Amino acid sequence: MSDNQKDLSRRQFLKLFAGTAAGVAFGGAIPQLINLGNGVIAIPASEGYLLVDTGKCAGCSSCMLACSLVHEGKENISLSRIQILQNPFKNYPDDISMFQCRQCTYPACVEACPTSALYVDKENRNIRTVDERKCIGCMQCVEACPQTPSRVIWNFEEHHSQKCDLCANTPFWDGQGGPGKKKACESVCPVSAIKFVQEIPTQYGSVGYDVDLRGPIWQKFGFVARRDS
Amino acid sequence: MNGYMGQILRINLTTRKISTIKTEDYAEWGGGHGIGSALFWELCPDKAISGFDPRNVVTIMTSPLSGTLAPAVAGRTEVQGIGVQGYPIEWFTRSNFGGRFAALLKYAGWDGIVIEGKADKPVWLDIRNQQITIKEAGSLWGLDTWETQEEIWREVMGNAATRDEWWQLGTERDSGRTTQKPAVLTIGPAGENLCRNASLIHDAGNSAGQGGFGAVWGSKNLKAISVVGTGSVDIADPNGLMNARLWAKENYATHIDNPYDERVGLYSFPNKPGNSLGIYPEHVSSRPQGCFGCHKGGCRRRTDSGGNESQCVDFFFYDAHDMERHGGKTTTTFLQTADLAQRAGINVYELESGIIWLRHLYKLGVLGRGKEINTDLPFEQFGETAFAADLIDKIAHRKEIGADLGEGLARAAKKWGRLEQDLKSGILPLQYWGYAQHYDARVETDWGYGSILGERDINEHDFNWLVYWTPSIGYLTGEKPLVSAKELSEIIAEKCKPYSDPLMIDYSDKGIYSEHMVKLIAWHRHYTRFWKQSIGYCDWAYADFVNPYTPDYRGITGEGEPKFFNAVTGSNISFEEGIEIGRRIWNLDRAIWILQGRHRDLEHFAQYTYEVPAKTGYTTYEIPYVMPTYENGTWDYRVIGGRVIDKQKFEEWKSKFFEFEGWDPATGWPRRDTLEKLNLGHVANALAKQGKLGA
Amino acid sequence: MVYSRDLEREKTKGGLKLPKRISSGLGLVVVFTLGFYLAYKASQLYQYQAVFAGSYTYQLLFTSFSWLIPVSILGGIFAGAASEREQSQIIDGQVLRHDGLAFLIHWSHAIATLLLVVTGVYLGFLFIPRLVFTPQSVGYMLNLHFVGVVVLLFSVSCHLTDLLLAGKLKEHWPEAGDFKAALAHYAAKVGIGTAPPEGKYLASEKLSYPLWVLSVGLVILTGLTKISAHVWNLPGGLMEVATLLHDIGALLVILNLAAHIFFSSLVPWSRPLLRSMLTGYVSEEYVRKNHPKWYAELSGQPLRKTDSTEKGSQLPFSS
Repeated sequence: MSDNQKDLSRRQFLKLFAGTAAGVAFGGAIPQLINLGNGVIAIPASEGYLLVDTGKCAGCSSCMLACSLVHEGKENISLSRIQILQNPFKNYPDDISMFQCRQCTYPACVEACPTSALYVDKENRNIRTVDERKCIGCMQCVEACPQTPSRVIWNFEEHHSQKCDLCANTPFWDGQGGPGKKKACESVCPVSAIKFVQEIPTQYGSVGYDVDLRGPIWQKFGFVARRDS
Repeated sequence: MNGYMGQILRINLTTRKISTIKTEDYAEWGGGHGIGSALFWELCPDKAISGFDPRNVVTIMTSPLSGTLAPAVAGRTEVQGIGVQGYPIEWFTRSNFGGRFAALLKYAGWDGIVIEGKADKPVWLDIRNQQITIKEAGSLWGLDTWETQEEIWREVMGNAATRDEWWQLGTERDSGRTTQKPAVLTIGPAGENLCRNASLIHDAGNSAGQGGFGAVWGSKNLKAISVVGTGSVDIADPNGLMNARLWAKENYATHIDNPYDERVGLYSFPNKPGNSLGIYPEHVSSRPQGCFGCHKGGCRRRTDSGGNESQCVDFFFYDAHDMERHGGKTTTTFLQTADLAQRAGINVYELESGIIWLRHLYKLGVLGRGKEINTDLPFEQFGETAFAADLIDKIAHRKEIGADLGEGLARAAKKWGRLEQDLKSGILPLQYWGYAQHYDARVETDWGYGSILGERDINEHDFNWLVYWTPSIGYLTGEKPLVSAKELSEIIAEKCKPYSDPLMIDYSDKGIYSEHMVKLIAWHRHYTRFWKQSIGYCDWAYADFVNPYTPDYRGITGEGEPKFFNAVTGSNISFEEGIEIGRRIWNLDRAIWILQGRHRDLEHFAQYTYEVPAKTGYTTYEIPYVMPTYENGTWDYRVIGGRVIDKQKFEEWKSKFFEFEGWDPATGWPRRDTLEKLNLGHVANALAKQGKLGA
Repeated sequence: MVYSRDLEREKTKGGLKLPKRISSGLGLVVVFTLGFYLAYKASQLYQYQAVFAGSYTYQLLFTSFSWLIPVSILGGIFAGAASEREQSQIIDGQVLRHDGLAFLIHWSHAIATLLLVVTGVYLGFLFIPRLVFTPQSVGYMLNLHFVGVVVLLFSVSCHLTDLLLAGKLKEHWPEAGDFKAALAHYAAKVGIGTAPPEGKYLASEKLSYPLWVLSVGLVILTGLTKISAHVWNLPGGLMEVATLLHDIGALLVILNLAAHIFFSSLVPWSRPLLRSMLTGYVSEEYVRKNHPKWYAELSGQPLRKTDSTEKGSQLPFSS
């Protein structure tokens, strides 16, 4: 090959390239403009919520064990999507905190996810859940969760985010979810301190999610029937 | 190895060497006590040493079910080694405790911890997953058990200790997030000061009290072990485990929103939430509290009155005195005194009997200000917090009479020259091996015989709720127990395979010396050695013989224990196979005791057991003994108080028992063929070497 | 871009072309410095949703700067097309081996790959555990990964454009006998037998080329798929496959890179080539001894078989 031939081809290519470059560059920007994939614009409310009664909880952590068992097939409370924290040296009712996912009406975690891995599952009562296959592990959802501790769980064993899916997907349990079915934590709780409801709780503060689940029988056991703090 | 983490942590405090032992090599023992005994057998070559000897080996073991969803087992930890409480010999013994320790130890990747040697100065052990550090404990020494734990939380968690937040364990690898506080097992001042009644304390009220392991740790200069982990326990059949738990909850546990209309009595598996047996002042509001994975939440945490996580004897050592002082009603005193004992790290059983004994001596004019036994204990404030606080402080810091009481009641009595006479009269109720009378050997023989054939107060309520408490409470209230004595004998027979003998629970004067009682004791020893102490099923929930929720009142025992075990481990053992492993462990323990000097001649109760009739209000518990007996061809719950043990008949019964176990009736030592059948040939050899093999 | 557009001037100037190298090098320094700064700034947490106290996030460049991806590819194509290659010739005992574009392509590719490998390892893949824990540090690594991606895509598209336009793929692609030649080459290096006569590109270099194409091609194709997920909602199954292949590709890249660094800069005999990758030149003597075929082409003299058979002249482990 000669230099002339090569130069010619380069010049021709450059001309062609210059003509198309602008168009292609513009085309590259289009997906940005039409990006609706994350469903940011209209997020339907979840059709299910977990409520707890932190004043009733016995701190046994069985809900954590059940959550990890049905979702991961093993026992690891660090991977549980509900977290029970306790300090035995504090007095009732400040000794126990229950932290469950609130399935927020405006889910910061869903909005924060750059790859639609954390999405609203319209086939499963609009739960906010993670498609682990799409998660890139950026942890933005973990941080975006406005609750402390974060309700989005970082699965450090498999390197992806995960969160409460109201037991829609429990690969290790046949009693699994979907509308009207069992929730692992709710079914295992020995004192019925976790309850599944379909009505949207008040979003501000914790009063909508930490409620009185006691009733008169609780009093028969020698405990206070109503919240006393 | 589903359920197991695969390795046991081995720490030599003398050399500060940290190594590991493969769990696989010991899995045949199940876990917990079985593995602990096997490890002790190997790692403590000279078993006839004192518990204070640096060569003493302490094992802290979990089970394959620790940290799993199996009900009322996940949180229990078994502690073993040569204890310092036993009298006259410091037997190789055991204790256990609940809470979160076992679970977090498993999550950190360990099936147990073996402690050997003695540190040259106070240390504590910091376990964060696979990262193990022996740290100086100079600044922790002297702190009470609660202060120590909070200090360690701050050290391990940093700022996260005061926040409800995810925190990261290490910086090396991607396996360390948790919201949980480290589980700390620690000694208090009592352990540091080598009180033979010092306990190990975890969280607010979980305690390994009996045996004096607090003092053993103190002698090793070990203040605390902190553990936090973020790993996973592999489960063979997750679906099976989840459904088994729900099956147990549905069929056997208290239905929280529709509870069984309680009849008289105490049950194991379905006990009411928060039933920690204290009688609470009405103004104290509280929640039920359960150990890790507990399905019943039998303990409580309270507003501001104390007593968090404490229960039963933690309260009983003082609640009667509280009531007596305060017009027949408890105040918050008994809750506060429970906290004081937990914080000092003192075994409350010693306090319970000790306070009764000291008061007797005070009333006799032997003890008090300027008396023969001089003490300024404020007896004028007996029943108030101040009295208990002063006593606890004196013992824990070995001040004044605490210098002697810290040696344990038996040794203090010996020093004061009162041991023989007070054991004879029974004012010093140390019925077996220097341990406080818990349930009376004169009447409840499953308890008494089990204890004297073992090495401590057994503290196993398998039969106790049903054969003693339920009929006795019923006797007082006039209500009938849920099942008649005859039905109970049938249920027990069904459950106690392979013996299946209804007469096993005949507590009549005849029954307690019979071969039926032999079977009951043998079954009990074997059942608890495996299913409860090795696998970790909690004494508050198992054995569950009678259950008010089932149509035929049959409890979960027999079906539940292997169901959970098999779901977790993937093995397929039966209930009886587990009991057979229990027999093996029982024989191994027996061999250790024999090397420590055990002979049948030593196995007798305190003298009052043979001479002073059992009566209420004299020693510890305050209600009459009404128990099932088979007399004149009929079963009934009958009053059997006022009885003594006939020494001669008991000696004959022992011979029957030894024969039944395959041990030499002349000595109580196992025969070679018995041990070999249990695949314990090496144990037989060791006994033979010392001429202590049964003939 | 930093390389010269004045093809004619470059061509006639002759001698050392340091200015072009320096400008390319400076350009790379500027790009990476800016990249590091941007990556760091973007990964700082800021309050995310005013209505939720405690809701924080950081900027992921993969999302906010995704337009840079096509821009960098187009830039690379443009640079590859606009750049005139310089002919190798013997001048004053020196031979130009790597011209300015080669310098730019190689070093942009090298630094980008290193950055991608390091950040990829920190983020954890396959069996490698994640080494960063906080969202900020994860974000920093992801953003640095993005910087690497932008530079790598520029470098690769530049190289491919140049290769296609110049029709020089054949020079890099292995031919029959290369495997045997490479074996003999390294055998001779350790003192066994004699080395075969090599052309401009060693047989082993040519053999490694398809491996690079495979591994880098795999990570780029799967990587682009993964990047697309920041823009479009792609099916989970596709992402799962893409991620797995990306991780496998990354592993291959790491292995290639390790071998490349070893044979091209760690072994003593590679020093002249390493120097040339920086300065552009190798000595005539070096070419005559080590690349007799290429020397024959350059000098117009017939291939002398003896030239490459000086046994032990450059024993690798002699010093």
